[in-house]
Amino acid sequence: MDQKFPTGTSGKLRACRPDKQFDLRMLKSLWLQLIPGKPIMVLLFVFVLIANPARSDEGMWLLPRIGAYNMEDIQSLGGKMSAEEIFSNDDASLSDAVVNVGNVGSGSVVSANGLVLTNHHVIYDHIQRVSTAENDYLTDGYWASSFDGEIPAAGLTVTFLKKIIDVTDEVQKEIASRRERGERVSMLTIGRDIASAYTADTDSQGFLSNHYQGGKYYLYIYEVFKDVRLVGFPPSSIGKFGGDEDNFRWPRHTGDFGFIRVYADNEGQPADYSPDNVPYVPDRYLEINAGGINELDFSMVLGYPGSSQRYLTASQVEDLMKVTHPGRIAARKRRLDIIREEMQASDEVRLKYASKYFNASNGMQLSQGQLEQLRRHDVPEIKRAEEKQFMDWVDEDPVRKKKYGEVLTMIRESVEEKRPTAYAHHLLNEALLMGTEIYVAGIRANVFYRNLDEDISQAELAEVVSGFSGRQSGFYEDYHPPADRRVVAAMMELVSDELPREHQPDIIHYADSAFAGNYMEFAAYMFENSFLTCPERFARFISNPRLEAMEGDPVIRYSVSIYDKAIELRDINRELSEGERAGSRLYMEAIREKSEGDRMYPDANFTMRMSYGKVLGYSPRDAVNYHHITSLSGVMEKEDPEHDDFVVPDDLLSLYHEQQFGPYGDDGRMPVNFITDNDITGGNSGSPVIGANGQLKGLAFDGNWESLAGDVVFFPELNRAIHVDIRYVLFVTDKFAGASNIMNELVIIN
Amino acid sequence: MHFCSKTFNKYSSLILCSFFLLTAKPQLKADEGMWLLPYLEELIMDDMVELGLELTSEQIYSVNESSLKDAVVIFGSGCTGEIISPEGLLLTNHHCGVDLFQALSSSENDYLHEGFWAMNREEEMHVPGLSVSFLKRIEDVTDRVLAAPSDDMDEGERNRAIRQKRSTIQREVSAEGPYRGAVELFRMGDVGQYLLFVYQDYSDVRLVGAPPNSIGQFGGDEDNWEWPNHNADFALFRVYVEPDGHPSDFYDENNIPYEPAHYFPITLEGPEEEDFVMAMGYPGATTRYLTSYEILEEKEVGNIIRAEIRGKRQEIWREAMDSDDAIRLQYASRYFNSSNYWKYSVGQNKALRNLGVIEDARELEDRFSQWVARDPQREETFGDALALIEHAMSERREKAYSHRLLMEALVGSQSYFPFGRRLNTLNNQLSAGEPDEVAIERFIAGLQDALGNFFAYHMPTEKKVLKVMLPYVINELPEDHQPAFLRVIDREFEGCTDRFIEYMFETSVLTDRRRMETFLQNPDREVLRRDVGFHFTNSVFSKAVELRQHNTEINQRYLIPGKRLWYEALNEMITERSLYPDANFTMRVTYGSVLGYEPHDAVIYEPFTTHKGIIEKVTMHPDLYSTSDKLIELLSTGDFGPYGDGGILPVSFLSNIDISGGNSGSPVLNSRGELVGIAYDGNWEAMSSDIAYAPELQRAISVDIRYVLFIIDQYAGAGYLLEEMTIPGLN
Repeated sequence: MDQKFPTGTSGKLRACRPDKQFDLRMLKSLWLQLIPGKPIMVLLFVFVLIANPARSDEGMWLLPRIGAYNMEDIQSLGGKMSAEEIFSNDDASLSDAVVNVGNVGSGSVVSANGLVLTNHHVIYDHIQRVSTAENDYLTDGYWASSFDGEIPAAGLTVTFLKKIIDVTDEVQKEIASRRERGERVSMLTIGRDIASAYTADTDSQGFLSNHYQGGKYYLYIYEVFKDVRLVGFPPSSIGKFGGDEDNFRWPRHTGDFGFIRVYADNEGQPADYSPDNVPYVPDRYLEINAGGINELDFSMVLGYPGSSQRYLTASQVEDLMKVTHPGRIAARKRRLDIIREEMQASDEVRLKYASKYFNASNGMQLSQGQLEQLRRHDVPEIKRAEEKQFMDWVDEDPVRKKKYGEVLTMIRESVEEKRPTAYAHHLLNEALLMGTEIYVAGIRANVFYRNLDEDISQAELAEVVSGFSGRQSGFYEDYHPPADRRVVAAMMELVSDELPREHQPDIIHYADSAFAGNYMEFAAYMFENSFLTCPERFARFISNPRLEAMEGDPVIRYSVSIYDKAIELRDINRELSEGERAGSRLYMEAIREKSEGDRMYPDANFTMRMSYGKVLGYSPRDAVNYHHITSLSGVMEKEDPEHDDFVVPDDLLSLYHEQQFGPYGDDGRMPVNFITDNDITGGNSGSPVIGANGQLKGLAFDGNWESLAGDVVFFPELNRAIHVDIRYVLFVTDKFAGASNIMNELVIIN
Repeated sequence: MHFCSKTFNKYSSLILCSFFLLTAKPQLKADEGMWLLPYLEELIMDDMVELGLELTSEQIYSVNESSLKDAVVIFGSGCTGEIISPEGLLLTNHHCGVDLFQALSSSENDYLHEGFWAMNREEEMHVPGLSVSFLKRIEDVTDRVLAAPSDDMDEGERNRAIRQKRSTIQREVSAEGPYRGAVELFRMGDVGQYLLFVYQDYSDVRLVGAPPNSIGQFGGDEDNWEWPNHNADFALFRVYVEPDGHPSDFYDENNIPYEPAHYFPITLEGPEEEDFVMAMGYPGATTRYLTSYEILEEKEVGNIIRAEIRGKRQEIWREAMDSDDAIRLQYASRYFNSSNYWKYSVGQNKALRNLGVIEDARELEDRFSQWVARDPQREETFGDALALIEHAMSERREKAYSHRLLMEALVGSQSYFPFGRRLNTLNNQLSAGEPDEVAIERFIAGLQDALGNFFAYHMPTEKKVLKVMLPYVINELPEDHQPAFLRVIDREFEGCTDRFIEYMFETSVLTDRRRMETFLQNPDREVLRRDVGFHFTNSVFSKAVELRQHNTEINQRYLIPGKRLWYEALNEMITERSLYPDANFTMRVTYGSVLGYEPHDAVIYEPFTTHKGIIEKVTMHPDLYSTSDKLIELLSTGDFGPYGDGGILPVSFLSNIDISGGNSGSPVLNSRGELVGIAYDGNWEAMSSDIAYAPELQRAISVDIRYVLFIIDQYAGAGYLLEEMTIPGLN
């Protein structure tokens, strides 16, 4: 079974960038935060419990538990739906109108013809792929005037959640019997088996989700549609207005939306692309409520949050603040400064590096924001207070004391012992492995070198050569060696300054002795003497690849040295993490026990969750207040024709100045974005914001700066989710784009 | 509420805006204006009373009785101060004293960075060169002055006659006693055209207390001109007089504290939003009646050059300061002064654009043109006004640009330039047919005294700056605007400015103190003749003077007559509101309300900052903000005694009073004339306020007097000073 887990996202909602390598890296580092060093697969099955949140609108709630846990709060906030109207296995419910888009975001079905509304940035890659110089959809936007004009987006999937089944008993029985038989318990295998059993003879896919450390198992049954087409979306100057500068910021003025459509075969089943496919008829779609947004309005968000770590201990939070974020920030800041200088000096370089810059900057901003907020609230202190309460509970009972008395110490000692090598490994990763582009070329070349070494047939050799050559040519397309050379020198200097000698890769020791520690000179030497740093030299090499030509190549030596040290550190860390891993498992067990009977929600894990809350402004700092809603006048304030991210299209300017808002304006103002205190995170991009009557009021696309510690702790006074007001979606689609065919499909209630 | 504020550009939402203004509920009055004291009753008392004032105009300004004005002083050469005790205790801004603290400091005692607190009278430190001035009275002398010129005089003669009459009047004042008279000209508003201001100057002023820079200028560059702001921008001095009560010209150990005719009581009842407040002080200059042509020059010449050049040199200074404590101390005050006006220039250009100031000015000019066209008499009198002004500005432009560039990039960026000019004077004296030995000796003594000031900087850094500035100037200036000496540089150094600069720094008397001292011991014209620095600096001055001279002539022929007509016309045409003259460093009153504002869509700035903001800033941005650990500790206790309220310590507040540079240190008073704060800054969103008042966005930032008292008492442990103040509720 080819199962695609909804793999969520990088960073806060905005992430989903074209660079696949980036996605993976961000995912890796997210996992790194969860439990450093843990292999990926196991991570997917380890979830954390948050017991009985005292803070009101906190929580990414499991759908089957809504009836038991959340109806009182929902009603007191003004929500008028019943639990079954939100989620039901048997009847059509709101969750049937909520989809996962491309495994990076969420969306909602808004018509009887499978029309889906999601974020512009969720489908950004796909827009870029179908854009050409003649048809620059990314810059100009696109609006299909009929089904025929809808553009197939190869590789884009839309996933519907069909059922959630409690399979706890079965899974526990299976685990027990395997243990009895002395067989290895592979959750992966058990998951696959159970999923097959439930989805046999259907096209659905199943995903086993584990909660309570084996206390509860849910099987999520999905239907994955592969024929998805782009229907309509605004120009980047609306869909991405504000760019890097406004990323994670409120107030915000971004029309971050786009329409896609799900196609199926004539039986309504998922099918590969075919011109004979027809628009999918969903079980449920959302009506649109364009009646307006007021502060304190009830708001519910259904979607696919990717991950959170709401149950770290104080020492683990300190790791974030001393290892993870400072390492990332130090490396990226230096790197970005250099790249920015190079971009400013040359248009060509600017085009080559724009996307790489944005990606790196996004991750850095995430780290900066989270670090700032963790400091601001002194989160380690908050955790310590919680831990004191925990220990009081443990000490009350001798059985508990015996079982859990040492758990926090176990975690802390492991974390602290590991810290120096964890920092070294992390910095090496950030600065040299990910930070210098040439590293990966060296690794590739090394693999190639090893292949050359063995007895290899001509045919195999040809294949290997063409593989290497193909990947490397892609490497040079957006590569500017002078920039990377400066980055190599800066990153080597950073590592040399920051790490003790034994944690530095030996290439640095070499540069210290042979080049008197002048890394600029070393980098110059390396770049001048390697066939990898220049496309012409590489072409000459690959036309007649010989072992001798590769021996002693300084880039290969550079990369291998770094790789070796990274592996060494990784292995040390893995060993030293044992206490943390075991301790964390035990700690979670303890918390579960302590919270028996209380409602709780597990950390996000790419499964559909419900979050409820209200429309609400906030005060980000002393003497400043933010309204809950922005308007088009704010777009005009920010307008700057010289700045790529703040260009406003002429048509929008005219509509504004003529005050042509149609029925979507409110008292002379055109609403654009609004905020709520819903608890969401990366992966919720495109999630519908649903009002008291179950109608669509907006779609989520980002979180605010002050919420960036939300991964770890939810602060209700400051955590805000940022949404596009549905009235802005309608205004842009109707008045700006004149896309009447789309408008006619929507069901709009006022 | 703010739909009228920002979009006065091309699509003219002015009409839309007027509609909303008419139908919107009455707002708090747009409190524009810097009002002269003798005209309060006529022009603004009614408005002030309506907003909450509980005083009479006599209580604010009286010639014969003591009044509020007797507690307000000119502090130094560009600030305001107020007296807060019967023993001459004076309050002003910390940033008004930066130069002074630095001058008093030594390597053992860095009063700028560490602060200073006298624990008794003996410890109060005399500040050489500092004086404060009290205003005694104001008199309308228009008739006397205008009687001086006769009708048959031409422009030049007329001006001379008026000048002489003004001097005469001023001399009469000095003859009366220890007074100083100043006759000032006022063009706008319903006020006398020539007013006489009578002052008394006091020169024995002593430093009593100042918080460390990290508290007084907590936000540094980052927060300069910005809200929210958390600076404890205050310092305390004391005025001393001769034992018989007369103003003293210098320090004398027998001098005694001054007993003022009035001093401000202080209240611990902080202001609330929309409360009435007023300020009195000495705004230095505004240009509220510029035409669009003049604003354009300010924008495209003055501000751009300052923003660019100062930005560049500050970068270099900053690097040097960060690398060495000694350099940091040397450049602290110079950097602050440069940066202050740099940020101002950057901000003003932004605000000019955002607020559509030039568009507004053009609309006023259109209104004027229509008004003139309607009446042949007006056409005759005022018809030429705008044409004259426009012509002047276009004639001026290029040379104004070059002049400003020379002044900013060279004269202002190199510490030794003024010295070069003085050497020129010396050179002229030495070259005279019969040199006046006595005068020369005196001049040399003066130069030797000043050595400390001019050579107090780091020559390698000065060199670095020049290496950036000189090529820039050469590139920017047209051939005929380049100082003549640049041709010599081109010839002798093959156009290599770096080599010239190296040579100059190695050989010129201007760039090395010892060389200068040696020269002054035996000044020899030959030495100067061979000195490239001497030639370079004076060549620059020469060209600058030439450029300015040209523009002065243009001004006299076109701009001044044009502006005169323009002012007259405005006085006649604008009847919907009272007009007030531009600030000119004479005492003014301004009033308004405590009020926040909305700087951007969906953002609201509350009018009060608290101690929490200080903790937030240092916690979240330790790279940008740092302050005394002791202060953070104190703030974290949450215990602020009588200065706080419910665990909150107020720090600063906003109001829409109309202030400008020079008002720094002005007392901010409540409706009863009690001191509630000290004005110290304006806000970023209205940096064009000197040119046009922006009612929705323009705010004055004042430090709350309770934060001031908290710092004096709980931080500095100098609570004894509070005993001489009048603070109901406390003593």
